[in-house]
Parts: sequence; structure tokens; C-alpha cells
Amino acid sequence: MVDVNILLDALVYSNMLALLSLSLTLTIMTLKVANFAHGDLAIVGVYGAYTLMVVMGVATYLTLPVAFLFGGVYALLCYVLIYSPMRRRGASFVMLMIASMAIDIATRSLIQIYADLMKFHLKVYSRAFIFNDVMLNILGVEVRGIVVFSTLSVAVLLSLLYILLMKTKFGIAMRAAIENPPLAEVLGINVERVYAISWFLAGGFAGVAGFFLPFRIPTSPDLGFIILLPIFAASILGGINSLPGAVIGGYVVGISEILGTYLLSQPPINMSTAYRPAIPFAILILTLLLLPRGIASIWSRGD
Amino acid sequence: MINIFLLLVDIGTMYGIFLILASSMELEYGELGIPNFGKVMFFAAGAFTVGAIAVRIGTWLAGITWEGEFKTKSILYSTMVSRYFASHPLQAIAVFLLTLAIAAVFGAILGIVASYPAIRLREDYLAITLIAAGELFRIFGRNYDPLIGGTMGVGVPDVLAWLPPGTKEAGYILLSLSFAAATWLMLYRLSTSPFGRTLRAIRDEELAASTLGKDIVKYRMKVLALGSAMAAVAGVIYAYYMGSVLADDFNPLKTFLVVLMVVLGGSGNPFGTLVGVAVYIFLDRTLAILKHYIVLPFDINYAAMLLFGIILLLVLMYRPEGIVPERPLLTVKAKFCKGDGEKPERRLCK
Amino acid sequence: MSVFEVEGLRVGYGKLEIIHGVSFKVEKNELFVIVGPNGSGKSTLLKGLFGLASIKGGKILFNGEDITKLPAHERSKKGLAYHPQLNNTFENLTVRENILLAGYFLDRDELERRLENVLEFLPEIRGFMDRKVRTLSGGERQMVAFAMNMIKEPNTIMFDEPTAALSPKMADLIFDRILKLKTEYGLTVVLVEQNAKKALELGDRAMLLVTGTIKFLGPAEELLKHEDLASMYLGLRG
Repeated sequence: MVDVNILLDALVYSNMLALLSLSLTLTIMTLKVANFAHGDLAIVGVYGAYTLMVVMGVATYLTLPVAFLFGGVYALLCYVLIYSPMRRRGASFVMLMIASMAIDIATRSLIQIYADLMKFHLKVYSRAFIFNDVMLNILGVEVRGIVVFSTLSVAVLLSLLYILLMKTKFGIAMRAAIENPPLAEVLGINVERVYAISWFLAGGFAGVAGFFLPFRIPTSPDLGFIILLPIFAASILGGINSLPGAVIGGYVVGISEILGTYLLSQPPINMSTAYRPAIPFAILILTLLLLPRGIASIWSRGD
Repeated sequence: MINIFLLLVDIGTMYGIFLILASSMELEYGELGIPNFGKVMFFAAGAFTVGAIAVRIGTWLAGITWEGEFKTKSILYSTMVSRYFASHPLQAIAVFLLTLAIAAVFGAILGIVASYPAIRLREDYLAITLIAAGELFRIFGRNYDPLIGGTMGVGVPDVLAWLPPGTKEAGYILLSLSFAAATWLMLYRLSTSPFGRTLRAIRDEELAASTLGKDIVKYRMKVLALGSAMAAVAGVIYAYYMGSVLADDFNPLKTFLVVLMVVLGGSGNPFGTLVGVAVYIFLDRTLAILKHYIVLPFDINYAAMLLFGIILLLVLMYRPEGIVPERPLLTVKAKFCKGDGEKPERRLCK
Repeated sequence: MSVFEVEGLRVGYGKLEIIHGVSFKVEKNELFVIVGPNGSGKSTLLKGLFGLASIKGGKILFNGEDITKLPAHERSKKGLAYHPQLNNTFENLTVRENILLAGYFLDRDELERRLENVLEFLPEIRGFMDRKVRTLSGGERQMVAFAMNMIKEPNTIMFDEPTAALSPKMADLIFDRILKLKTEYGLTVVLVEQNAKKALELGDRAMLLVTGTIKFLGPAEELLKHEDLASMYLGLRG
């Protein structure tokens, strides 16, 4: 039987992936092109939180909103300064894609420089950092804080998003602007502003997801690129235009990856854990081959 | 002190290698419109082939028996093989040609395999698929020790060891640049031929091109096979020049740099490729030299990559056609009416 | 003062000019019909009047005001509504959400009041208020688009082939409501139609548009009875 800790780890990882996959899908719904810098948004967020912790001595979990803010603002800047102007000038699909790659390289380099500077000033030995967790006592059981907080964060953020999109006037306008921008414009909705706000939200969600990272593994600047594959696998599995699908995809990929890696590393297979990316890759390939429109195509009538 | 000679050798050889890579990218993206974000995987295919085979064949030819693990001993044995090659030039050349042929075929096959998703997927799904495949390839090279020595890398024997020092380095430049010239000329001939025009037609208006009876699938396969073979050849030269193959060297950053060269130089124009590679090499080497003189609290390589990322963004935003823009298509009328002074004036040309 | 006074209007897309200098007037509370063969530019003319195509020359006066250079969403604030042929609703949203979006800038009470009026005018909609538009039939969708325009309480509505691809029964229903707009609500209606016979029967004045120029401008029944023009361009026998 599988150790409980592995299952809890899978839960935390999946919580993170669900938020990242959801936010990636949100950006694709507005920009219509996949953003290769998406994983980096999470890292920007967590470095923001880390800075606050280290420089101002704020308690770990209290810096969570800062992660949201950093991720959100950075995403907003990317949209307003780069993607939106390019799109208005008629940039093609491929050009936007290459731009996102360039943004990824530039962002990662920036974070690397920042990490170097931090190491220099803080005089720590390693560039990668971890967050120390708290142990909570739930109903007599000792549980790591991150398990509770990550699950709680996901639940809260998803609920808020649902309320926003379904119950508020602004949310309806947002869905309209995503579905049919010219018609929304004619009705007087400022589509550019709606898109910018959705990018801010997406970046914020990514930042929160990034916040969970250092509780599990030493966090370094390249992590944003490394998690890109699972994020994409989750989004594509969910169906590139479906927010609920993205969340489900996040859990499927996350649990498969953690459990799969663990099980395959046991005898008799004894596969090295370094081959971990093979699992989300396999999910990606299978989805593209068998169910190209993702899980969402199962419950929605095809258009 | 900077050794000017070695610097020039390095610039020349790397220019050649990158020109081959950029030419392959230009063929796939500039002409056909498929941005091959998995470029480094095909580059690695060539290099890994050399890494896995060269030292093994070399020891077999030299009659050396292996003792110990491949991973830990490869550097030792490849040095021994290099010494053997110093007095057996024909065998050295043979090994080079053999590994080259195998690598090119391997690359072409990989390219054909990659063309299946390339046809069916939209560009961003294709990109993540290729990037992920490339990363798995790299991880495999890194973890499966018998292939290319895992995290230690593998030693590659010096196939030009039979040349005296001084000439040998020149030999590497010559090797690299002649392959690069051949590749670029191939690109140029293809680009200006009907084949190239068809590619650009498919790139710009696929539906229309397919109605003209052109088998799109065949063209894509051919281009990807050729482009991947080119990248593998570049990998072969790179491996022999470096003298070693290390899996982690073949990461997506290399693909990004090739994309930068093509876009910056000007996609859709082979001359742009020449310019793009030159600009990159210039910037890269300048930064490498600066590294010796400037001390920063952070690694200057990161600043270099940041700079490259920003350059690419600026080009995409403000001069997407690149330094050397694509030349507009010669229309039928223009060609028809060029006239040769002998035939009477044609009615259509008024 | 006429509702529309159009002088020498030229409309097109990019470098292409489709309407080559037309002049006409639309009077208050009339049902003005525009007919013509396919490709004559009827849709483009309407788009030009609303501000969704590029005006290459000429002038448009709307209720005395020069709106030639006014952007589209400003024109709608002046009481002009436009019912396009395609893409006139948000398919993945419910009917209620669509209408709410149309009345985006209204406050809650006003929106409720207007919604009641719209439902009186189009009572059929009550039956599918909470269904997603993409589950509706063609005729039902046109009614939703209709309602979205009515919620703005315009004084003038322009319709671009609202009955295209509808069953005769549905088409009749739409025509009936359009006529009601004029007779019961006092609106001015501009109607572009492929179904020339029915449109001309309903209309007051008509315009025949052929390849971007006016071939007839006058009372609708005259055009209907006009042997040459009616048979040549509209496929009607005398």
C-alpha cells in the first residue's frame, strides 16, 4: 500500500497544478496563444513572498498575498506592455508564441540575477530556498500545514472565481469579452480592460501556486520552466477552453505524476525518479491522440 | 590574456555550427512556417550519436580493451584513441564519416517521426510536445550512463589528431565552415527554387496551396527530415570540436538562441540567416570577453540571456521582418516581362 | 427633419469600395426597406451607417446630427440600434445574461422595468430565459438578438436579413414584430431583406441597391409592381 505521506504530497502538488492549469487556460482563452512564460509567474510570485519574509521578517504564511500580488502584477505587465500591443499590431499566432518564449527566457534570467543578488547579500550558501512548515493538529492528527493551507487556498480561490464569473455583472462581461470580443465592444464593454484584469487574476493564481513550491522542494529560478510540461498537460487534458476542465486536469496529472513516479521507482521496475516528466508527457501525447479537445469535450456538445 | 588565434578558431567554428542550425530552422520556420521548438533534440541526436559511438569504435580499431565503467573511463580511453588517430588519419576520417552518416540518418528519422504531430497539432501544442520530447531525450542521456556517460559526460576522440597543432585548429574551422557553406547553399538553392516557392505558399495560405494539388504532408515530412538531418550534422561537428558530449548542454536555451538568430536576421530570407548568426556570435563572444574584465555580484551569463530575450522581444515588436527582410515574390508578370530585347514587346506587359 | 439624411456615401473595407456614393433619406416612423441581389452591398451599407465599416466619403446625418465620424458604440448611445445578420449573441451565455449585457450600463431597477417591456413585446422569450443561446433554434436566437436591441430602447433599428435561414412560420413572426415596432412603438425601421416580396409588402419606402448604386428609390409598392426592375434584380414576376 502507498504511504499516506505520498498521497498527501500528491494532494499538495495537485492543488498547485490545478491553480496553474486554471490560470494558464484563462490566459489562453484571452490571448488565444499558449504562454510559455506561465510557469515563471509562479516563481516571480514566490520570490516576492520570499523577499518579504527574508528582508522584513514577515511570518511565512502571511506572505501569501504578496505572492498573489507579484504574480498578478507581472502577468499584467506582460499583457499590457507586450502581448496586447503585439496583437493590436496584427502579430501572428506564431509570433506571439515566440514572444512568450522570449519572455520566459528574459524572466528566468531576471530571477536568476535576483537569486544571485540575494545570495550575495544574504550570504547564504545555497541559492535554492525552502519554506519551513508548521505542524497542525486536526482532529487529533498531526498534519503538515501546507496540506491544509494549499487545499484551503484552492477551495477559496475557486469559489471566489466562480462567484465572480457567474454571479457578478463584471464576470458575465468577462465571459462575453472572451467569447465574442467584437460584439462585446459594440455593447460598450471595454474588452482590453477586461482582458488585462483576467491576466492579473491569472498571474495572481499562479503566484499563489508558486507559494506552495518551497514547502515541498528547494525552489530555484529554473523551476518555472520545469513545471511547464505538467501545467500544459493538465490544461490540454482539461480542454483548452474549459476552466473546470483545467482544474480536473490539474488533479489528474498531479496525482498520476506523484503516484506514478513513486510506484515506478519501486521494484521490480526501479525506474529513476529523474524520468518523472515522462508521465505528464505520456498524458499529453495520449490526450492529443485520443481526446484532442480534452475532457471538457465529454460534457459539452461540440461546436 | 586572450589568445587571438584560439578566439578566431572558436568564432569561426561556432559560426559554422550555428549557421547549420539556423539554416535548418530557416528552412522549417522561415520557408515552411513550422517553428521547430524541439531543435535542440535533433542537435543532440547528432552529438549523442558521436558520443555513444566514436570512442567505442575508436578503441575497437585501436585494439584497446575496455576496463571499467564507460562513464568513468571514457575520457581516458578517448585520449588514447586520439593518440592512435594521430598516426592513423584514414581511420580517423573513416570514423568521422561513419558517425556522420549514422547521425544524419538518425536525425532524419527523428524528423520524420516529429512530422506526424507537426501536421496535426497547432503550433503551440506542437512546441510543448517537441520541447518535452527534447527534455526527456536529455534526461535519458543524463541518466542512462552507458549512452553518453550520464552526468559526467563522455569523451570524444580527436579525429583531427593527425594534423599538427596550429593546422589542426584550422582544420576544425575548415570542417565546420565547409559543412556550413554546403548547408547554407542548399538552403539558398531550395529557397529560390520552385520547391521553396511551394513551401512559402503552404506557409502563407495552406488551404489554397492544398487545392493546387500539392501534397502538404509530403512536403512537411521532407522539410522536417532534411532540417533534422542538418541539425544532427551540426551536432556531430560540435561533438568532435568540443571533444566531449554532456547531456545537460543540450537544453531548450539552445533552441531559443537558434530562433533568435533566425528571427533577428530575418526569417524568410537566407541572407538573413547569415546575418543573424553573425550578430549572435559577435554579441556572445563580446560578452564572454567582458566577463574577464567586469566583476558583478551575479553571473554574467544570466545578464547575457536576459539581453538576448529582450533583443528578441524588441525585434518581434518593432521589426518583425528582421534585419534582412524577406524579398517579395517575383510575380509572373515581372518575370514574364523582363524581356530580352529580341522578342517583340508582349501585350500583357504594357 | 429626417431620421437619416445620407449624402454621397461611399463605404468599403480596406482599399475596396463597395458603396459608390449613395444619397437617400429615411423619414421618422417609416419602414424603409433595402433590397437587391446578393453582393449589392446591402450589409455593407448598414455597417457603414452604424460605424462598423470604413467610410470613404460622403455624409451621414442622424436626427440632424453629423455622425459620419462617430465610433460605433457612440452611435448606439444616440438611439440607433443595429441587428447584424450573424454573430449577434453570446452563444455560451444564457438568454438572461445576454440581455443583461445589452443593458450593461443600466441600473438594476431600470433594467428590470425595461426587461418587462421587452418580454411583453417578445413573450416567447420567457420560455427560454435561462437556456444557453447555443441550444436555441435559429428563430429563437434572432428573437434574443431582437430583445438585446430592444432593451436599449432605441428610436431607430436597422435589421440585416433577420429572417435568413428561418422557417416561413418563424420568418412571419419576425416580420410581424418588426411591423409592430413601427405601428405600436413608433420606431423608425430600416430593413435589409433578401425576401424582397414580403419586405416590400410591409414597407413604406424602398431602395433597390445594385452593385453599390441606387437603382430605385421611392414607395415600396411601386418597386413591387415595377416589371423590369422587380424581375431583373429581385426575381419577382411583375
